[in-house]
Amino acid sequence: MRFPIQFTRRTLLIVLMILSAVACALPMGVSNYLRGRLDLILSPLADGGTVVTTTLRDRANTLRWRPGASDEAASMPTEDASQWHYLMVQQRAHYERRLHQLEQSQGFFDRYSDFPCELVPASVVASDALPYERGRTIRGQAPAGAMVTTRELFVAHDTPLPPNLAVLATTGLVGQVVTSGEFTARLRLVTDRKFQLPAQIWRDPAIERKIIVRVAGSEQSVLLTAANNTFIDVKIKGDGANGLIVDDVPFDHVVQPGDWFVTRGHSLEMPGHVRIAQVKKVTVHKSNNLMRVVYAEPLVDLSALRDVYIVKPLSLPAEDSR
Amino acid sequence: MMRWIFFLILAYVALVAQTTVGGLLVIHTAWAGPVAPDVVAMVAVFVAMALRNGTDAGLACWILGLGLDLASGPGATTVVGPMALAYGLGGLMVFQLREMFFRDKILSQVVMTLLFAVATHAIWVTLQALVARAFTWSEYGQMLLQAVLLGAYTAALAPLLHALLLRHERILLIVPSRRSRS
Repeated sequence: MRFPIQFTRRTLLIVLMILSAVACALPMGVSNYLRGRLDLILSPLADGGTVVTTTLRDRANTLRWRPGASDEAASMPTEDASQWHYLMVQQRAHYERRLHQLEQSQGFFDRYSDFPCELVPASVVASDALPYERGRTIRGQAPAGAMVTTRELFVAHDTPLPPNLAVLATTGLVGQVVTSGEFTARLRLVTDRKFQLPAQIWRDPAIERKIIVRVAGSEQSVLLTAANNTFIDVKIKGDGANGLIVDDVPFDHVVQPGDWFVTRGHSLEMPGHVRIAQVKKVTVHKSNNLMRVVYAEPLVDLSALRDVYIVKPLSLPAEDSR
Repeated sequence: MMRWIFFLILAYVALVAQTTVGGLLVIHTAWAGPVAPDVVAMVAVFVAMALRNGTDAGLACWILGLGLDLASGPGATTVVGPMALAYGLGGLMVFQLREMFFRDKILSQVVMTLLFAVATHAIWVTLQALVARAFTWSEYGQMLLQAVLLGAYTAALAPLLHALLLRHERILLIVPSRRSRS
């Protein structure tokens, strides 16, 4: 008895095309599972490629050629006593300003509530194959001395990480874990179109400005100081390219370039004020004159992202601490 | 005939290149967002133009498309399948059209790659918007523009990769016939 369909390569192609059409309609979990399988195959070689890419990016960032830089250095009047004095005064002023900023930023970390968490070190091994989304594949770093063939999980756990964990670089938040398999996880960068996060804007008091405050029912224009500098609750989202946007900030908050996007202090995944991005541009909302659209740039060069830390809460914070 | 093992190695290397060093070639545009060349599409067009069998061309492109599907997206937004489908159809399209072109000519490579890349990426964006609801319709227009720019960028770089692959064509893809070997 013969099989009713002769199995040729043409038949195989038709079957595969039908299967791929059917796969489009399957639940998202199937796609994520299949992607996790590919990461196992792709990540060993991609890891090397990413090292090359990030190293080249880093080198390019540090070796930016500036015309006339050598002439400036040669003509710098370091011997001149008055210039030397001027430089010292400037440096002192800069130091004072930085010290003031540092004192302000200490408020970014809540000293009175504990957040037991584990910082899981991980490395970016590959970026998205298509430019429509902003994501990275990350893999846990093996402990020092481990053989490269050791089957290391993120934190030596057999189970994948829970979703929505915050991912930090050395200077700020870079994204969230969206899906994770046994050995790798997919990270959504803060600049992705689908990235949304309740966050806050912190106005830099070093930038002088007058804000509008309501005192006893009347509005008053006062100078922004450390005492009246409150965090502004916003919802930030990625612009799909290289930045972040908030499109509904009331004008009376007077947000200006140089201010900061920080995480909300009471969120479950990242209960502290960690910096995310710095405001670069503020424009008037097209349909509402009372609103401002705020554009910000991440603190981290995401194209050269290599080493990251996943914030893994050991337990949920107690209700009273939030 | 096709050397499938060598082809799979080529597909793997192309995919790794796209997900790593491909990041160095990204251009940020004001209207369409980031635009990067599709190295896998260049390989797919080369394979579809080189093979003598349409079914093999479709199968090879389907494999490349599946790889791209699996290596794309941070997850939980887009589904696997549309790019495999689009690449399979695109491979058959290039195979049918290749009779109209001299494949050693740079212009042929550019035109074929442009058609292939724009068609496959437009299918991918449309299917993800329709089936997976991965993008809103306001984002859809911008992403189509992104797909067209990506196609143009890929087509501009295609002759370089084609020149490289043409040198190793007999090793990578085609098993010489018995008559020519004797």
